[in-house]
Amino acid sequence: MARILEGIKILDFTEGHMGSYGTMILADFGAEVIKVEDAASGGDMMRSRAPKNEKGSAYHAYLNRGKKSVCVDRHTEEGRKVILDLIAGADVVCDCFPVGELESCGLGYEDACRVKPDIIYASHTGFGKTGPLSNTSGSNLTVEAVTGLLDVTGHEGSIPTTHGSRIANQFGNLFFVIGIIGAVMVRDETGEGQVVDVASSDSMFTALEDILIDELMTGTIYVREGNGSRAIAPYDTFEVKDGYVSTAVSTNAQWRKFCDVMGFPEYADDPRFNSNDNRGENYHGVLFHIINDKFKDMTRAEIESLLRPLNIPSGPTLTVEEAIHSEQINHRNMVIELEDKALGKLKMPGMNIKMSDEPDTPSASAPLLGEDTVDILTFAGYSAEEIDLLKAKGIVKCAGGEQ
Amino acid sequence: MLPLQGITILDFTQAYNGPYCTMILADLGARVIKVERPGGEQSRFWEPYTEDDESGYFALLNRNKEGIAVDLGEPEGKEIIKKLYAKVDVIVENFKFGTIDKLGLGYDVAKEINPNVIFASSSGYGQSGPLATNTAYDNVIESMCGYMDMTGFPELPPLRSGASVGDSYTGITIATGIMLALYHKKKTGEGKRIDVAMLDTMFASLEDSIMTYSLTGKPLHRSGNAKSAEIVPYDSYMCKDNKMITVTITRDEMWPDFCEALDMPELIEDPLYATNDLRVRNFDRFTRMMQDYMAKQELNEMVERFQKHNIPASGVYRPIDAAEHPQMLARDMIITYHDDNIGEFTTFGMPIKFSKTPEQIRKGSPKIGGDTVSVMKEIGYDCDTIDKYIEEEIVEVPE
Repeated sequence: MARILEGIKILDFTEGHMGSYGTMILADFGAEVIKVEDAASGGDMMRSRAPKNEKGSAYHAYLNRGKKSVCVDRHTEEGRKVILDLIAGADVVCDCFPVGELESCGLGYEDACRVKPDIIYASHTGFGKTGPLSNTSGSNLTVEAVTGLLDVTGHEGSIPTTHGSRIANQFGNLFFVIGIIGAVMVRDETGEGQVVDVASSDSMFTALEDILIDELMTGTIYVREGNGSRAIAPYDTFEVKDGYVSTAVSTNAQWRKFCDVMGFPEYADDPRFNSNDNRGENYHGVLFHIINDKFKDMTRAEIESLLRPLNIPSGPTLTVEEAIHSEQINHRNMVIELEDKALGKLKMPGMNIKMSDEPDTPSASAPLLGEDTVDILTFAGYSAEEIDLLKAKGIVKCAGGEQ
Repeated sequence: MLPLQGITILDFTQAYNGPYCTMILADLGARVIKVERPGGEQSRFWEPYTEDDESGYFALLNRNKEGIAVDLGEPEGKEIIKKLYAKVDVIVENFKFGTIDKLGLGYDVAKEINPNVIFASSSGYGQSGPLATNTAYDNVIESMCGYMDMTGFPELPPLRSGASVGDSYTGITIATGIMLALYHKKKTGEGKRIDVAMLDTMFASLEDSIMTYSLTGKPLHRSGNAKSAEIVPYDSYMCKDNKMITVTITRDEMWPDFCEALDMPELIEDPLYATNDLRVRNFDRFTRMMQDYMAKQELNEMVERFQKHNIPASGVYRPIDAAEHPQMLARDMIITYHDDNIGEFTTFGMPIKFSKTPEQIRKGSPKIGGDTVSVMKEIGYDCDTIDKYIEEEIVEVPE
């Protein structure tokens, strides 16, 4: 079955996590994503990043599923020419470098426009390609620190704490994908390409919920509040007999049901707790302890069996291992298995954008370094002799990195 | 032209995740018609407020949108919506599971009226599976997908996001799905049914944790601000002035520069630390060394030294200070414009920097039912009927 982006060709210089997660989504939906890996440095650094074993990196296997790999030394004149020939047949060029890197190789947007006037250049970097930090590499942690996300996350009294995933880069990657599809739509209408510049920092900054404007509008200074909520009470994570449970009770109707099923119906209409505002005001010091005392002698399953039928939002704090084996995650096909060329059978996250009449499994596994060099150069018009010559000079590498 | 110029989206979403999604699409030029119940959606009653009790929360997420207020419980209200179904490219909803079907306005109905419509649903657990009918909040989803267990320090309880990213990250994921479906529609004329779950989305984000378990079968534990099993250095430390610094390298080639920035070139070839694999193995020892070192340095001086060597490093900014960061200012990430509800409104800018078709603020957030009349006229209602519906409180318009 044809996937949505079939026919779109992407020349992809991204590596690591920046940009690469975005081009994985494009590949999942059918774009031909050709990784251009640097022959001189042994390819995408992700190839040696943990989690890994002696055969290869599982993180690389995930982020690069469905992509192709061409291995070219872009720092040589002949390598540059090869890449320009590939750009001539591409719709989009992607990169994640600090400003100036591709330009210094003679592969900037202006250079590309000479061989492909409607080319789209899209980048995902930590801090963007303009401004005082444009030549600084970003990383997820420093972006969380710069945008304020780090400061607002953590237990009361504890230090600023990073998220459980590379969340700032993940936001950046999705804005990157949206920007690329948007630019392709514009090109299809107008015939013009353009430059799309996405930063993890800008992206993350748009997702601080109301915290930023609260500080700007009212001067409220936000403090880390652990697992609570500014808007709803009770809304917290409690220690129970065999772990933790997160629960939220927002409406008065839910509160009544909650009190009944937990065996303290007398609190249902207690003036301290009879509205969300009152529950919020009396949460710390009173209500927290009432719930905590009840929950601490119960198991995760006991609480779930009481609250699930009432549809009160609540759930156990599962480990990743437990989540991987949970019924809902598996029903949704969110753990898939691919036959990776380096690592063999490998489970990984599935596709979370579920769409009618579209497959929700990736099209292929990740490429070996330079696996597609010969095919892609042949398609671009190179003869076998020319390719051999480039190989002999070390300008390109083929499957597995051999010369 | 803006990327989504000419696209019309009917938006039933409320609260955080759906409105964040449609804000992204509106910023890209789509015409978003937000449907609220008379009286307004729930987030109009969320803090912060202006002196006139207008919600900044609502204004934040609903810029560039038009607003109509319609009672979906009344047959006349449903009729208005069905007429709109015939005209729009995309319908987005984040109601409780089953609600839109019960209203008689679900996907089957929409598809009958408009066979090529894109219909996107956002929910906690998705439209299928044993938990589909359950309602969820950010904290419950972050719990059940393993996210909280992976966030925080090992000696402290699991932790949730300070900014409810389960909502916003799901919102941007739906926006991505809608972009894909719109591209498909432009090519083929066909619509799509999109189903995005917070649980799926937050689970899939735990990339390295899932891949570690997949490869090794070993249980994992949260590791504070470090990635002690993956990349070292990648951590936070306390400086002499009691301020926290974050510093990371993102590739092995940066290690010598990192050592130079510390003014400790002898570390470059140190047999304990020379490669990332070695530093992972000797993480505790490396961390103690770095803690001792940073405890003697001033934050600002240290950040400057790292930046000079192109090593990612930063102090920890509060959101309000981030708004004054030179990088954020240079990127126009703080903008001020007129909002009909709030007046002058200062908020975050637009993150996709297109060289030729920049995202735009065309208007602020709508008043309740601010566009009810003009939208009803567009779909063929005459003034008498509109007045009658206003009288009967089937629709609402601003006073």
